[in-house]
Amino acid sequence: MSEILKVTVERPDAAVAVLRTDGYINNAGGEEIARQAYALMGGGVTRLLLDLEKTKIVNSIGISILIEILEKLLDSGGRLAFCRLTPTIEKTFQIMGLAQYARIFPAPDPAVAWLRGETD
Amino acid sequence: MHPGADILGAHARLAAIDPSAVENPLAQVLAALLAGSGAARGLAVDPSQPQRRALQGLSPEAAALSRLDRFLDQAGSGATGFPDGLEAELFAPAIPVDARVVPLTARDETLALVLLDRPPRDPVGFASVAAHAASILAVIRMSQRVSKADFELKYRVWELQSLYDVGLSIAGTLDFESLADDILMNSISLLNARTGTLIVRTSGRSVEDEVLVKHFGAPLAGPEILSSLPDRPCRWNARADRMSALAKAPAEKLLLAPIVADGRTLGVLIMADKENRAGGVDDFSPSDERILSLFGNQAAIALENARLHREAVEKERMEREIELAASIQKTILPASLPAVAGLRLAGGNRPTRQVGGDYYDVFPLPDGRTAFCVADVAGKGVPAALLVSTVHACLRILLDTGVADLPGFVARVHRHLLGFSSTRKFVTLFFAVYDPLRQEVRYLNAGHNPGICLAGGESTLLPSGGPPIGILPDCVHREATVPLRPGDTLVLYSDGITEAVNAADEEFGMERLIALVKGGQDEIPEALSSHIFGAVSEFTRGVAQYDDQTVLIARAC
Repeated sequence: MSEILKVTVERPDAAVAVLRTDGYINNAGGEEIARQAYALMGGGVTRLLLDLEKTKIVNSIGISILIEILEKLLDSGGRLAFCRLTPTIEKTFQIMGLAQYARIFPAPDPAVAWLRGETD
Repeated sequence: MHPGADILGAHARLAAIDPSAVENPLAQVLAALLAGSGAARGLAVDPSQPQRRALQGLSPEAAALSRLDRFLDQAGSGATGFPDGLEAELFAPAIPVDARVVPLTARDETLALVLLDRPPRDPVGFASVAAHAASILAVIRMSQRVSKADFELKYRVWELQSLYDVGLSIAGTLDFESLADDILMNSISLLNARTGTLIVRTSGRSVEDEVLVKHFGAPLAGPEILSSLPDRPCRWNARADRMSALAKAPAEKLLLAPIVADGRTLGVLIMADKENRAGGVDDFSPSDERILSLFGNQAAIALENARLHREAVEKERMEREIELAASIQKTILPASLPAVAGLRLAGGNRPTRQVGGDYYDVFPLPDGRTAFCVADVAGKGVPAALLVSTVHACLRILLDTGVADLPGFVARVHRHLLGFSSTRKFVTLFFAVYDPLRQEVRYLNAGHNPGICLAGGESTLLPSGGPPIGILPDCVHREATVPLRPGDTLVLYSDGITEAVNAADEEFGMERLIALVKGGQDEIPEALSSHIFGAVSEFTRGVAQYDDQTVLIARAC
């Protein structure tokens, strides 16, 4: 895994976007995620899934940026979900409060279903 | 419009601000203050964060904004006004004649500086609007501080949880490589480092040990750093101060913690460039040093556990090997001695380890004679047991070639062992053939302890007739003959009997053995054998012995 984060975006449908990360979610990585997320939100997408399968490390600055993205999404009535987190990252998100307002899923499909409002 | 209406409108605008949902309310605050004052143009800025500002009706040049930034960087949240000329620069080119600066303060802290292009029409009413605006900014500032404190508290919990989790991992796995990954990643993550390196000797014995190197990002150092490690954590927030091994590390700032186990420095954790939210790097702090040292300690514990595990596995492997060899050797040493014409035989073997280097055996020959022997191979443990096995096989196979010529027979065994033994192992051998018709024993003593022949109450020692076999390519052995009439006893033994030592480091010795043999001339051989082993045990009284003990007694009857 690289310390330089790469983000790819997939659009399962018009309302939902999946951002797949590969690398370190630090300041630069978090900024890249935010750039992509805000571009999507600017285009009207308010339901985002962050698939962290290829991310094994985050730091507190990356987390603070994810919290900012989450706050903006919630302000606009949106939803944020995470999937495929390492146990360490999932525990970190629980501790840092991200899991209070975003949902964590083991796989992308149930996460997308929740974002679409198909499941509780 | 009546000024009172402006004031009410301004309060209404401020009341509409949701402090919990607004990060930067300056634009809304400025709009309310403009409405409340009757001014048309203005600027609001947070002196503690100059990049946070709102402008309405003015578009200053970049140079004016830069001057504003520089001024506020110096003045900070204590600023209550602008320096001479700056107001005009900000309003240029339409410079008002009576601009006003309104500081919004709470508890001696300036929360915002508001610049208006004219004085308020209703100073008293405007003062209430300014106080209202200041209270909103104070609430938002307090909310941000609480949020930051909450984040920092959670961060401390995360820090403790990470250390706890690594500790649990150490207790739950012996895979040091995956633990090393955990430790490196947790260190980088918690210290907000951009990159990191972990280098450690995994076997912990010498400089030739295996070295495990883990990098996240560009390598900060190589294994050569292990030869010049400091014995305590170090922070290098300036390049010039770095130790030479890190002079070329691709980073602005470095933090290092040695990994010390059992008083020896086995490795190092190095972190590079603690990043901040603005995209730059901060100095590593004493607190960072403490965290990295804790992870270094965790790594040391993991290494020590891995080493102990390796040793336990190796010990277990050796014990299994020895048990296997012991079970093989049990099949080599006679479970019971055969009944043969003219002789009553007894004997036994007491190895000092689970497998030993002593061997004894009895071979009834087709012509009514009986061959018997005691041998002692050099060394102990599994290698010695393997040589015993070879001696046993040689004797069994070569017996078919005949023992009429004892030196020739032993020479054949000797040649075979020379070809087998590549580790300069040798064997002492006392080989005897009893002829019941002639009532005599022909024997060949190849470097073994002298046999004891007891006849008529007198003992005779049967000395060596040549060197041990299996070591010198060219050697000659002599055979000899001794009568063994009914009632006479021949006692063969290994040096583990005569050289058994007690707590005072005294040897059991030949004299005690001969006395036992003489005293036991009326005992049956089985009783004499037990008597000898018992006497040796009583002499040594539990002191650990280094040689196997073997006795073989043949009494003519």
